[in-house]
Amino acid sequence: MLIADQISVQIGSKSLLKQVSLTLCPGEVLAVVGPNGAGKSSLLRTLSGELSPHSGSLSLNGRLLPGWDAGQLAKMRGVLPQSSALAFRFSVRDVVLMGRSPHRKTHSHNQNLVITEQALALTDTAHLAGRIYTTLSGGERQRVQLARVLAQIWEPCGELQRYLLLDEPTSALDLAHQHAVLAITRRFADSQNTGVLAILHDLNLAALYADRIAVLHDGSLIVTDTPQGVLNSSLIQQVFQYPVSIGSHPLYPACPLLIPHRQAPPGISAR
Amino acid sequence: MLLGLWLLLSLSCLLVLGNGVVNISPGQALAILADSLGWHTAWPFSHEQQTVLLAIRAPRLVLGLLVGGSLAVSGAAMQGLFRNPLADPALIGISSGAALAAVAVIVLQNTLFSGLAVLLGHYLLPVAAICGGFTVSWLVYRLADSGDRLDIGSLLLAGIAINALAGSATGLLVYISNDDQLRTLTFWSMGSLSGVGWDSVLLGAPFLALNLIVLPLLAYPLNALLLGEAEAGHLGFPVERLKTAIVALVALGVGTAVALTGIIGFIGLVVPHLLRLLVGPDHRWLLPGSALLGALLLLCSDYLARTLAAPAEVPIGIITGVLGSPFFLWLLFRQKIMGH
Amino acid sequence: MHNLTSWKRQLMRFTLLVAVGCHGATATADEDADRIVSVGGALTEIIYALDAQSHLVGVDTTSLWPESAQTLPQVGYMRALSAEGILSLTPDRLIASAHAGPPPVLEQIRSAGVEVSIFPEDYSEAGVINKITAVAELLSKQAAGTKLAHTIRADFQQLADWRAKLTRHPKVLFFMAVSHGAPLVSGRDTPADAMIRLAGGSNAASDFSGNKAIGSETIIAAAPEVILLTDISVNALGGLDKCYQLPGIAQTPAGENRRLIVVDTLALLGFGLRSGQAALALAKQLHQQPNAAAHAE
Repeated sequence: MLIADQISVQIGSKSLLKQVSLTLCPGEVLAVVGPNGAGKSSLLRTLSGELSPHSGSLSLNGRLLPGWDAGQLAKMRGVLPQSSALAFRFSVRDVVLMGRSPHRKTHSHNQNLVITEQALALTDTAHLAGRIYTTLSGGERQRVQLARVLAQIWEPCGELQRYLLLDEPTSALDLAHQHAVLAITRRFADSQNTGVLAILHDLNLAALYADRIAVLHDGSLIVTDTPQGVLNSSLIQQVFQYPVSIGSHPLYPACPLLIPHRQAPPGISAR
Repeated sequence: MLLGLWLLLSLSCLLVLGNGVVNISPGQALAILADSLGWHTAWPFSHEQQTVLLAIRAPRLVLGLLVGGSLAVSGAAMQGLFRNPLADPALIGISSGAALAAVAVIVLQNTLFSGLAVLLGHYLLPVAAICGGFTVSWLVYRLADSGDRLDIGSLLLAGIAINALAGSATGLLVYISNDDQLRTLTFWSMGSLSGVGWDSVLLGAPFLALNLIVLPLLAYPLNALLLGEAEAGHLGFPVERLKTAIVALVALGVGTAVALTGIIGFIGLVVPHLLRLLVGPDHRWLLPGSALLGALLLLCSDYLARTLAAPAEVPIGIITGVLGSPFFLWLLFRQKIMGH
Repeated sequence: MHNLTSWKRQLMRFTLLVAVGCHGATATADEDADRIVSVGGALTEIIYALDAQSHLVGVDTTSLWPESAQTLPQVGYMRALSAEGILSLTPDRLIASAHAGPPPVLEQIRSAGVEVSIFPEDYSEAGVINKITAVAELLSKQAAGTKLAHTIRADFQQLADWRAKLTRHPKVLFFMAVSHGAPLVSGRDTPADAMIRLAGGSNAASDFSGNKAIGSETIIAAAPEVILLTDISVNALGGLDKCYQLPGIAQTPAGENRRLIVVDTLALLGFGLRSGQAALALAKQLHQQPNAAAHAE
């Protein structure tokens, strides 16, 4: 398990996270939601080791995070960035192959190539393999980056569980690509018993694919619960400062559906 | 591709060893080399040929290979570190620091450094240049280092500022220099492999070889760095140590090269570019390829430097510049067209 | 201007005389096998004057006089010599100015079995005489060397006699270059400074050493009575008349009295065989009456 225990993060005098405790279990998909500036990215950057918590502790598979060797960590934990600024003309295959670099000493080049092809196939990007990465569209790049991160934690790491941290994986994507990425992730979590934490903006997407949803507000974790538990109108209204109604999905009655209200034109309500 | 470069380089070595103002046939060249290893061959050669080959051309060739390779590999590594194909080893202040120290030695030799000059003889200039290069790049590094991480953007800006400062200090020294000193440092700044003997090779080879051997071993982490620093960290690479190591190795290689041969431009910038067109941006091929092509380019430039105006010699910086600049312009032009 | 050319011709005649006079000595000396590379204009002049030019197999870019020296193989600029280039001329001897280098190249040439002789650069009569004596000794041409040294001494004696009669020493500025912006003026410890003093002038720029770029205010403050310009600068500016238009010049006594003088840089500053004669010629020009100078223009 990936466990954050009472972590607080500060930059200067600004408090980014306040005593957040969170557990990510193998095989589950945990969506992190919250308004802009709530500390979602700070949470992900702390879990991925980019930010060090001011207080509190982080442990992965039963050992405190600083106790893990970086190479070992890379085999257990993949991190998908919001966007990647790769300016050099690498082929898509080479980009995905870079995900295999933690395994370059334990696997032959051919084994790594085979896994690369499989990851490309899983993310539906095999047809792009020979293309130059910089010529791809935003949606294609995001899927290629996902393939790279999946290739990185492709195979079981002994007895150790694997985790995937996704920073707004759907932000730049159209409807079909948003669902494709989350479906791929969901399938990987199920089949590989991998814990997935994804920052999402769309609460309905979160409700459709996540096992649990964590709501962050102003650096604090308000609640972590199933979609049914989290998506109630008063909570959402309180956190996002916006009126909504909650219905249920016409195809999946168990899945709640968030329906935002129309905002009154500015100034009219004041009169 | 790499194999081809190897073959081309070996062939060029033989040709360059044998060719020059003093005539030595390839057979004689081999015979002289064999003789120096203790095998006597039937091939006749003169004492003069032997001296020229062993005492002048051979050390020059060896240092040329090491310097050319080091400059090009360092350029490729810097471009990877800055994630910018226009980055150059000069960015972190090595060349300007070395130049400042060299000019200081040339101008103040008889006043400030007279004691050192007696002690070190004509090693004073290279030793001072290495120290100057290191000091300035260390300063740039410290300015960009915020304690726990090295900020590449700050490194670039600190480099520009410190380069300008070192440039002004150099200008001031140039201003107070006399005619003789001015001419000496003008020639120094154009670079030359002239006067390279086995002593310079021994002085520089350990540093240059370290740069040439270790930087290509950093191909995987350098590739990962191109994805972004955070991404490289997530792939398990010790990013902070890596950045420090790259800066240190580049400073070591380029500092030594500048100290021994003056400022030889364009190899660090142009060779990695050319290689990217030929083998792509993957550092696993780019770094060893740059080493080979850099060595080859410097070898050919030096051959031209010592034969074009024979028996006089053209500064090698002029030749690499003449070969390099048009290519660089073509590259920019081509990028512009491809961009539209 | 015609003064310079006339003494040049005179000196040519003198060199020829020396050459003819020494011919017998050359034939007997067993030095025919010597192949010499000369690096330094003054040294090359001396070798020619000692009639040893047949031994010369290469010279540097400062060896411009006599003009026939320019047809010899060029080993390049004296501070950037090439070991292999020089060795390819298979010399037995390298005769070089103390400015020659870089030192490792000289070391390589020496280790290849070539005898390397370095001569100090001293901007004085003694410097020239010492060079002559040493080069003559190296080439086993002591007799010719003594004769040549005697001639040079006579030149300088004549100069000293002239100087002794002088009652005043006009203030002189030497412009080394005037191409861009402020002119480059020769201060202390320069060949130009030595030459001005030899010619009975006083250097108006003696508060700094070496060549420095000087602004027009400083030039006016220095109040030179004569300004010397190099032939190269004057040609680049397009004639002496143009030089009077340089900023600051018109406000100096030299500008007001039209006392700008062109000098042959090579003869004057090389401190070779022609320096005594050149200094004398300069001395005569320096001490001409202003109105007489205007006539000579």
